[in-house]
Amino acid sequence: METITFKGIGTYWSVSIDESVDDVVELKKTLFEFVADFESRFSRFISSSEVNQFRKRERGTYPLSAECALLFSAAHELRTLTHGAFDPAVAGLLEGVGYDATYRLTPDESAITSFVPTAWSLSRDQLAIDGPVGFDFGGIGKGYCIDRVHELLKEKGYHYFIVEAGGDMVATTKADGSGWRVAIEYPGKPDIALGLVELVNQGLAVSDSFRRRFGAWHHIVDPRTKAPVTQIIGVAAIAPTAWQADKMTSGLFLGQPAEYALLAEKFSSAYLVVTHDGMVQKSINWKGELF
Amino acid sequence: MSNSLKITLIVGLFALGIGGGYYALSKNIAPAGTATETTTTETPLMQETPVSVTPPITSAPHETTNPHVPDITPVTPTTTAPTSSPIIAVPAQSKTTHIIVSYDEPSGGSRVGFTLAVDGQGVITDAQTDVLAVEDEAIKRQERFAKGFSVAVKGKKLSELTNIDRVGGASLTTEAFNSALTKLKAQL
Repeated sequence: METITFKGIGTYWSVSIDESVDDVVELKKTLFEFVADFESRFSRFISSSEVNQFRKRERGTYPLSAECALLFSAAHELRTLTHGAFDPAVAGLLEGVGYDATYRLTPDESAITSFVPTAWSLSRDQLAIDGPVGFDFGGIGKGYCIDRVHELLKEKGYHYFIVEAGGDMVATTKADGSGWRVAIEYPGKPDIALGLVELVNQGLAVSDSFRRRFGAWHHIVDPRTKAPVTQIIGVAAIAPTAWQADKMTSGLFLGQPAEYALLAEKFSSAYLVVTHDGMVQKSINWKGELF
Repeated sequence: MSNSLKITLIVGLFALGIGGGYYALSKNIAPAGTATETTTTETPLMQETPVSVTPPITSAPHETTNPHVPDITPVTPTTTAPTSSPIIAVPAQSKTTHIIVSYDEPSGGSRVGFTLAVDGQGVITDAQTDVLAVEDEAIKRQERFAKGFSVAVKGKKLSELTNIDRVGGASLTTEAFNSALTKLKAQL
């Protein structure tokens, strides 16, 4: 078992490969550079990134790279499914609540109350914006990037591995055909597991509302109400890919409970929703053990 | 659950009694017109109910009679229910229990099953709805209920789990834990 760890897109990555790796140092360099390249193109924390160019653009239509169009297309699907609760045009609001590159701790109330998400639409690879806008691919970008690393490893000829970034992951199987055993953290209780799953050619995403919290605000904000989501404290999703699982967890946080089944269908997911009263709602197709 | 006792328990119920029990289970999505709180139980389920204990679980469940519906309540504890008291009196062993209940639908009677996993303290740790309705609308309601109902989860110390490859989670501690885990495994 070879394990490679590195930092990328603001989180820790760990990739375990259950077969021999000829040149671990070389592979680590390849993976690190791949993720760094993704970050340079899509992070809102990097001023030269493709998504940041729209902060200074006037109302109009602009061409996107194929990969950027793919991310916007997914964002649009999720925006539709959550009736606007998910919107990548939320970067300005996130900065208003203190979730910016410098991690200010005090929410700027005036930025919150004055925030109106800029309208945008996508037609093939053409992005139309109503005015200058900051985009944030949090909620879908990490899962996508994890899947790309998974593909890269496949291209390199590996079969048995798990790719994990900041608690989200995708796995094939181990060399003996068994799954990768993953404990799911209880939201807000880092030393407690709420369940155990075995990943076999599946992605897993977990999201909670405790991380990077600023007073009453946290990183999941509904742009319609400009308020953080409070009822749900954590969600988890298992899907064929990390990207689908990532989109599912965002949908669970921001969508209507009555539409969870529809979301699960769209993203081929099984899911858990943990509410503030400590109850866990699970989809009927959730296979893992709960404690 | 491999070493747990399996209890098959079919409880035939009066429609009145069912109202209360089903209501407790389906706070969020109750079948229309049936959810009325009525009777309460006086005795714990296990004390007087003849049950067939069949480890492992076999084919057709046996029929018994027990109108003590509210025993099912811990699946969705209400704010008034004391959470600490065991609701089902069971020996200190985990079990899987199947219960079938009947209730009144506007269109007539219907049945629904529940499979409950109960731990040694009598706390329901997992539950599934078995859709038994025959009428279309009732099937739809039961399926919707099955998709949306919650279980109480206590959690387990990560340190008690063995052979974990990763922790899925959103906290910075998860990152630290996974980092430590992979480093430790690399040393093995």
